[in-house]
Amino acid sequence: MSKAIKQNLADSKKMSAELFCLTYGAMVTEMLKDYEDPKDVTIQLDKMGFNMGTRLADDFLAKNANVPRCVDTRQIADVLCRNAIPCYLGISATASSWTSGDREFTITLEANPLTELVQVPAHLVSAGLSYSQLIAGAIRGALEAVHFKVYASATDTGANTEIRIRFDQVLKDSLPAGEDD
Amino acid sequence: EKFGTIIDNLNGPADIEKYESLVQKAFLHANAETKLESIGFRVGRQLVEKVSKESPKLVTELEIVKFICKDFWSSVFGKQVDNLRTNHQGVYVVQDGRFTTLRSFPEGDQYVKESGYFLAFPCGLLRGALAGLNIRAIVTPTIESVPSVKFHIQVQPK
Repeated sequence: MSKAIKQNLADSKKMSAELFCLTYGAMVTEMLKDYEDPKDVTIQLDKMGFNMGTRLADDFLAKNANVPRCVDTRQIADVLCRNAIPCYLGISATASSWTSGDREFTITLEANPLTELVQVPAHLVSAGLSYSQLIAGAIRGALEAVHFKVYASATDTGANTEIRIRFDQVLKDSLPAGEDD
Repeated sequence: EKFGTIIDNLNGPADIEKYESLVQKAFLHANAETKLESIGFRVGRQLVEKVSKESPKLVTELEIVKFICKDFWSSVFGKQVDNLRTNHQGVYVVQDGRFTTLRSFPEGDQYVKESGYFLAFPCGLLRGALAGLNIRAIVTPTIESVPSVKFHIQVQPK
Protein backbone atom coordinates (compact mmCIF):
# COMPACT_ATOMS: atom_id res chain seq x y z
CA MET A 1 0.00 0.00 0.00
CA SER A 2 2.40 2.68 -1.12
CA LYS A 3 2.29 5.58 -3.53
CA ALA A 4 3.11 3.44 -6.53
CA ILE A 5 -0.17 1.63 -6.15
CA LYS A 6 -2.25 4.71 -6.78
CA GLN A 7 -2.31 4.32 -10.55
CA ASN A 8 -3.53 0.78 -10.62
CA LEU A 9 -5.91 1.01 -7.68
CA ALA A 10 -8.84 0.55 -10.00
CA ASP A 11 -7.88 -2.76 -11.49
CA SER A 12 -6.21 -4.32 -8.48
CA LYS A 13 -7.91 -5.30 -5.26
CA LYS A 14 -5.83 -2.88 -3.23
CA MET A 15 -7.16 0.16 -1.51
CA SER A 16 -5.88 3.62 -0.71
CA ALA A 17 -3.63 3.47 2.36
CA GLU A 18 -4.84 6.84 3.59
CA LEU A 19 -8.48 5.83 3.34
CA PHE A 20 -7.72 2.58 5.14
CA CYS A 21 -5.75 4.29 7.89
CA LEU A 22 -8.30 7.02 8.54
CA THR A 23 -11.19 4.59 8.44
CA TYR A 24 -9.51 2.35 10.97
CA GLY A 25 -8.84 5.36 13.17
CA ALA A 26 -12.43 6.52 12.98
CA MET A 27 -13.61 3.01 13.76
CA VAL A 28 -11.42 2.74 16.85
CA THR A 29 -12.59 6.17 17.98
CA GLU A 30 -16.17 5.08 17.60
CA MET A 31 -15.46 1.88 19.54
CA LEU A 32 -13.87 3.87 22.34
CA LYS A 33 -17.13 5.80 22.64
CA ASP A 34 -19.11 2.58 22.65
CA TYR A 35 -17.17 0.53 25.13
CA GLU A 36 -15.96 3.17 27.57
CA ASP A 37 -13.17 0.93 28.81
CA PRO A 38 -10.20 0.96 26.39
CA LYS A 39 -9.37 -2.60 27.48
CA ASP A 40 -12.65 -3.79 25.98
CA VAL A 41 -11.77 -2.07 22.73
CA THR A 42 -8.50 -3.98 22.63
CA ILE A 43 -10.40 -7.22 23.18
CA GLN A 44 -12.82 -6.39 20.39
CA LEU A 45 -10.02 -5.43 18.01
CA ASP A 46 -8.36 -8.73 18.80
CA LYS A 47 -11.58 -10.60 18.03
CA MET A 48 -12.06 -8.75 14.76
CA GLY A 49 -8.49 -9.48 13.81
CA PHE A 50 -8.96 -13.13 14.71
CA ASN A 51 -11.94 -13.44 12.41
CA MET A 52 -10.03 -11.75 9.62
CA GLY A 53 -7.03 -13.97 10.22
CA THR A 54 -8.91 -17.26 9.98
CA ARG A 55 -10.13 -16.21 6.54
CA LEU A 56 -6.85 -14.67 5.47
CA ALA A 57 -5.04 -17.95 6.12
CA ASP A 58 -6.94 -19.62 3.28
CA ASP A 59 -6.35 -16.69 0.99
CA PHE A 60 -2.68 -16.63 1.87
CA LEU A 61 -2.16 -20.30 1.14
CA ALA A 62 -4.01 -19.94 -2.14
CA LYS A 63 -1.76 -17.08 -3.21
CA ASN A 64 1.52 -18.52 -1.96
CA ALA A 65 1.67 -22.10 -3.13
CA ASN A 66 5.35 -22.56 -2.32
CA VAL A 67 5.20 -21.84 1.39
CA PRO A 68 6.74 -24.80 3.21
CA ARG A 69 5.11 -26.72 6.01
CA CYS A 70 6.30 -25.13 9.24
CA VAL A 71 7.86 -27.42 11.79
CA ASP A 72 9.12 -24.94 14.37
CA THR A 73 8.45 -21.42 15.58
CA ARG A 74 11.48 -20.04 13.73
CA GLN A 75 9.89 -21.15 10.50
CA ILE A 76 6.53 -19.68 11.49
CA ALA A 77 8.20 -16.37 12.20
CA ASP A 78 10.05 -16.57 8.92
CA VAL A 79 6.90 -17.11 6.87
CA LEU A 80 5.08 -14.38 8.77
CA CYS A 81 7.84 -11.84 8.26
CA ARG A 82 8.85 -12.74 4.72
CA ASN A 83 5.54 -13.68 3.13
CA ALA A 84 2.40 -12.93 5.10
CA ILE A 85 3.02 -9.46 6.47
CA PRO A 86 4.50 -7.96 3.27
CA CYS A 87 1.66 -9.55 1.32
CA TYR A 88 -1.16 -7.98 3.35
CA LEU A 89 0.36 -4.86 4.86
CA GLY A 90 2.92 -3.99 2.20
CA ILE A 91 5.68 -3.46 4.76
CA SER A 92 8.67 -5.42 5.97
CA ALA A 93 8.90 -7.07 9.35
CA THR A 94 11.64 -8.65 11.42
CA ALA A 95 11.51 -11.27 14.13
CA SER A 96 13.71 -10.90 17.19
CA SER A 97 13.96 -11.32 20.98
CA TRP A 98 13.61 -15.05 21.10
CA THR A 99 12.96 -16.27 24.64
CA SER A 100 11.78 -19.29 26.60
CA GLY A 101 13.31 -21.83 24.25
CA ASP A 102 12.14 -20.26 20.99
CA ARG A 103 8.56 -20.22 22.21
CA GLU A 104 8.27 -16.48 22.35
CA PHE A 105 9.35 -13.90 19.85
CA THR A 106 8.71 -10.34 18.80
CA ILE A 107 7.81 -9.22 15.32
CA THR A 108 8.72 -5.61 14.64
CA LEU A 109 6.73 -3.80 11.99
CA GLU A 110 8.47 -0.82 10.50
CA ALA A 111 6.09 1.91 9.34
CA ASN A 112 2.87 0.24 10.40
CA PRO A 113 0.24 1.53 7.94
CA LEU A 114 -2.41 1.58 10.68
CA THR A 115 -0.54 4.19 12.71
CA GLU A 116 0.72 6.27 9.80
CA LEU A 117 -1.56 9.26 10.34
CA VAL A 118 -2.42 8.51 13.92
CA GLN A 119 -1.37 9.65 17.33
CA VAL A 120 -2.76 7.54 20.11
CA PRO A 121 -3.23 9.60 23.30
CA ALA A 122 -0.94 8.41 26.10
CA HIS A 123 -3.76 8.13 28.65
CA LEU A 124 -5.57 5.64 26.42
CA VAL A 125 -2.45 3.55 26.01
CA SER A 126 -1.96 3.44 29.77
CA ALA A 127 -5.63 2.56 30.16
CA GLY A 128 -5.06 -0.58 28.13
CA LEU A 129 -5.77 0.37 24.53
CA SER A 130 -3.57 -1.46 22.09
CA TYR A 131 -4.22 0.34 18.83
CA SER A 132 -2.72 -2.22 16.48
CA GLN A 133 -4.18 -5.24 18.25
CA LEU A 134 -6.10 -5.95 15.05
CA ILE A 135 -2.88 -7.12 13.40
CA ALA A 136 -1.95 -9.26 16.40
CA GLY A 137 -5.44 -10.75 16.34
CA ALA A 138 -5.14 -11.48 12.65
CA ILE A 139 -1.86 -13.32 13.20
CA ARG A 140 -3.43 -15.31 16.02
CA GLY A 141 -6.41 -16.15 13.80
CA ALA A 142 -4.32 -17.09 10.81
CA LEU A 143 -2.09 -19.38 12.85
CA GLU A 144 -5.07 -20.96 14.54
CA ALA A 145 -6.47 -21.75 11.09
CA VAL A 146 -3.32 -23.78 10.44
CA HIS A 147 -3.52 -25.37 13.90
CA PHE A 148 -0.97 -23.39 15.82
CA LYS A 149 -2.27 -21.90 19.02
CA VAL A 150 -0.45 -18.70 19.88
CA TYR A 151 -0.99 -15.64 22.02
CA ALA A 152 -0.28 -12.32 20.38
CA SER A 153 -0.31 -8.78 21.67
CA ALA A 154 0.71 -5.56 19.99
CA THR A 155 2.48 -2.52 21.40
CA ASP A 156 3.15 0.69 19.52
CA THR A 157 6.57 2.11 20.23
CA GLY A 158 6.93 5.36 18.39
CA ALA A 159 7.36 4.64 14.70
CA ASN A 160 7.42 0.88 15.07
CA THR A 161 4.86 -1.62 16.18
CA GLU A 162 5.96 -4.65 18.12
CA ILE A 163 3.92 -7.79 18.18
CA ARG A 164 4.82 -10.25 20.88
CA ILE A 165 3.90 -13.77 19.98
CA ARG A 166 3.91 -16.67 22.39
CA PHE A 167 3.54 -20.14 20.98
CA ASP A 168 1.25 -22.32 23.04
CA GLN A 169 0.62 -25.65 21.35
CA VAL A 170 -0.17 -27.42 18.13
CA LEU A 171 -3.90 -28.01 17.88
CA LYS A 172 -4.52 -31.65 17.03
CA ASP A 173 -8.07 -32.25 18.08
CA SER A 174 -9.65 -29.65 15.88
CA LEU A 175 -8.60 -31.35 12.67
CA PRO A 176 -11.66 -32.08 10.55
CA ALA A 177 -12.48 -35.76 10.29
CA GLY A 178 -10.50 -37.58 7.65
CA GLU A 179 -7.78 -34.99 7.46
CA ASP A 180 -5.37 -36.49 9.93
CA ASP A 181 -1.75 -36.33 9.05
CA GLU B 1 -37.33 -2.76 28.53
CA LYS B 2 -35.55 -0.40 30.81
CA PHE B 3 -36.98 2.56 28.97
CA GLY B 4 -40.51 1.50 29.88
CA THR B 5 -39.80 1.75 33.60
CA ILE B 6 -37.95 5.01 33.14
CA ILE B 7 -40.89 6.54 31.27
CA ASP B 8 -43.30 5.36 33.96
CA ASN B 9 -41.23 7.03 36.65
CA LEU B 10 -40.97 10.31 34.80
CA ASN B 11 -42.72 13.22 36.40
CA GLY B 12 -41.83 16.59 35.02
CA PRO B 13 -39.21 18.02 32.70
CA ALA B 14 -36.50 17.95 35.34
CA ASP B 15 -36.47 14.18 35.18
CA ILE B 16 -36.26 14.17 31.40
CA GLU B 17 -33.09 16.17 31.61
CA LYS B 18 -31.66 13.61 33.95
CA TYR B 19 -31.97 10.92 31.32
CA GLU B 20 -31.05 13.09 28.38
CA SER B 21 -27.68 11.48 27.82
CA LEU B 22 -29.35 8.10 27.91
CA VAL B 23 -31.90 9.16 25.30
CA GLN B 24 -29.17 10.52 23.08
CA LYS B 25 -27.29 7.30 23.41
CA ALA B 26 -30.36 5.30 22.51
CA PHE B 27 -30.78 7.26 19.30
CA LEU B 28 -27.13 6.98 18.44
CA HIS B 29 -27.14 3.26 18.94
CA ALA B 30 -30.43 2.77 17.18
CA ASN B 31 -29.08 2.71 13.68
CA ALA B 32 -25.88 1.16 12.43
CA GLU B 33 -26.21 3.01 9.15
CA THR B 34 -26.30 6.37 10.89
CA LYS B 35 -23.20 5.40 12.74
CA LEU B 36 -21.34 4.25 9.66
CA GLU B 37 -22.36 7.46 7.98
CA SER B 38 -20.91 9.53 10.78
CA ILE B 39 -17.67 7.54 10.70
CA GLY B 40 -17.53 8.18 6.97
CA PHE B 41 -18.13 11.86 7.52
CA ARG B 42 -15.20 12.09 9.86
CA VAL B 43 -12.92 10.24 7.50
CA GLY B 44 -14.08 12.23 4.48
CA ARG B 45 -13.44 15.55 6.12
CA GLN B 46 -9.89 14.60 7.01
CA LEU B 47 -9.16 12.89 3.74
CA VAL B 48 -10.28 15.80 1.59
CA GLU B 49 -7.74 18.01 3.26
CA LYS B 50 -4.96 15.67 2.30
CA VAL B 51 -6.20 15.33 -1.26
CA SER B 52 -6.88 19.01 -1.86
CA LYS B 53 -3.62 20.18 -0.33
CA GLU B 54 -1.96 20.98 -3.64
CA SER B 55 -4.94 21.72 -5.80
CA PRO B 56 -5.68 25.23 -7.05
CA LYS B 57 -8.25 27.26 -5.19
CA LEU B 58 -11.75 25.97 -5.66
CA VAL B 59 -14.21 28.81 -5.93
CA THR B 60 -17.57 27.78 -7.26
CA GLU B 61 -19.79 24.99 -6.09
CA LEU B 62 -19.46 23.25 -9.46
CA GLU B 63 -15.69 23.38 -9.24
CA ILE B 64 -15.78 21.75 -5.85
CA VAL B 65 -18.11 18.99 -6.98
CA LYS B 66 -15.95 18.41 -10.04
CA PHE B 67 -12.90 18.19 -7.81
CA ILE B 68 -14.67 15.59 -5.66
CA CYS B 69 -15.60 13.58 -8.74
CA LYS B 70 -12.13 13.66 -10.28
CA ASP B 71 -9.29 14.05 -7.82
CA PHE B 72 -10.94 12.95 -4.61
CA TRP B 73 -12.69 10.01 -6.23
CA SER B 74 -9.60 8.72 -7.97
CA SER B 75 -7.40 8.95 -4.89
CA VAL B 76 -9.97 7.33 -2.63
CA PHE B 77 -11.84 4.91 -4.85
CA GLY B 78 -9.13 4.39 -7.47
CA LYS B 79 -11.05 5.68 -10.45
CA GLN B 80 -12.96 8.73 -11.62
CA VAL B 81 -16.73 8.87 -11.75
CA ASP B 82 -18.38 7.84 -14.98
CA ASN B 83 -20.99 10.53 -15.17
CA LEU B 84 -21.85 13.78 -13.43
CA ARG B 85 -25.08 15.61 -14.04
CA THR B 86 -26.53 18.71 -12.44
CA ASN B 87 -29.59 20.86 -12.70
CA HIS B 88 -27.50 23.93 -11.74
CA GLN B 89 -29.73 24.45 -8.73
CA GLY B 90 -27.84 22.51 -6.16
CA VAL B 91 -28.66 18.97 -7.21
CA TYR B 92 -25.90 16.75 -8.58
CA VAL B 93 -26.15 13.18 -9.70
CA VAL B 94 -22.88 11.28 -9.70
CA GLN B 95 -22.76 7.94 -11.38
CA ASP B 96 -20.09 5.32 -10.88
CA GLY B 97 -20.56 2.21 -12.99
CA ARG B 98 -18.07 0.11 -11.03
CA PHE B 99 -18.11 1.40 -7.51
CA THR B 100 -15.13 0.23 -5.44
CA THR B 101 -17.09 -0.91 -2.39
CA LEU B 102 -19.40 -3.08 -4.44
CA ARG B 103 -16.90 -4.34 -6.97
CA SER B 104 -16.33 -7.66 -5.27
CA PHE B 105 -20.03 -8.34 -4.85
CA PRO B 106 -21.95 -10.58 -7.22
CA GLU B 107 -23.24 -8.52 -10.12
CA GLY B 108 -26.88 -8.15 -10.99
CA ASP B 109 -29.93 -6.96 -9.11
CA GLN B 110 -30.24 -9.81 -6.64
CA TYR B 111 -28.44 -8.16 -3.73
CA VAL B 112 -29.38 -4.53 -4.32
CA LYS B 113 -31.03 -4.16 -0.93
CA GLU B 114 -28.16 -5.69 1.05
CA SER B 115 -25.62 -3.59 -0.84
CA GLY B 116 -27.38 -0.49 0.42
CA TYR B 117 -25.92 -0.96 3.89
CA PHE B 118 -22.43 -0.90 2.47
CA LEU B 119 -23.02 2.50 0.94
CA ALA B 120 -23.72 4.29 4.21
CA PHE B 121 -20.00 4.72 4.77
CA PRO B 122 -19.14 6.07 1.28
CA CYS B 123 -22.10 8.44 1.52
CA GLY B 124 -20.74 9.83 4.76
CA LEU B 125 -17.35 10.01 3.13
CA LEU B 126 -18.72 12.19 0.34
CA ARG B 127 -20.71 14.34 2.72
CA GLY B 128 -17.60 14.80 4.86
CA ALA B 129 -15.47 15.68 1.84
CA LEU B 130 -18.01 18.26 0.72
CA ALA B 131 -18.22 19.64 4.25
CA GLY B 132 -14.45 19.96 4.28
CA LEU B 133 -14.73 22.15 1.20
CA ASN B 134 -17.47 24.22 2.76
CA ILE B 135 -20.53 22.71 1.12
CA ARG B 136 -23.32 21.39 3.27
CA ALA B 137 -25.12 18.66 1.44
CA ILE B 138 -27.29 15.60 1.72
CA VAL B 139 -25.95 12.55 -0.05
CA THR B 140 -28.15 9.58 -0.87
CA PRO B 141 -27.30 6.51 -2.92
CA THR B 142 -29.36 4.61 -5.45
CA ILE B 143 -28.41 1.22 -6.80
CA GLU B 144 -30.18 -0.21 -9.76
CA SER B 145 -27.81 -3.05 -10.39
CA VAL B 146 -24.64 -3.97 -8.49
CA PRO B 147 -21.92 -2.58 -8.85
CA SER B 148 -23.34 0.56 -10.46
CA VAL B 149 -24.25 3.33 -8.03
CA LYS B 150 -25.79 6.76 -8.38
CA PHE B 151 -25.15 9.30 -5.64
CA HIS B 152 -27.57 12.18 -5.33
CA ILE B 153 -25.95 15.23 -3.83
CA GLN B 154 -28.37 17.84 -2.68
CA VAL B 155 -26.64 21.02 -1.62
CA GLN B 156 -28.17 22.76 1.35
CA PRO B 157 -28.49 26.55 1.24
CA LYS B 158 -25.91 28.22 3.45
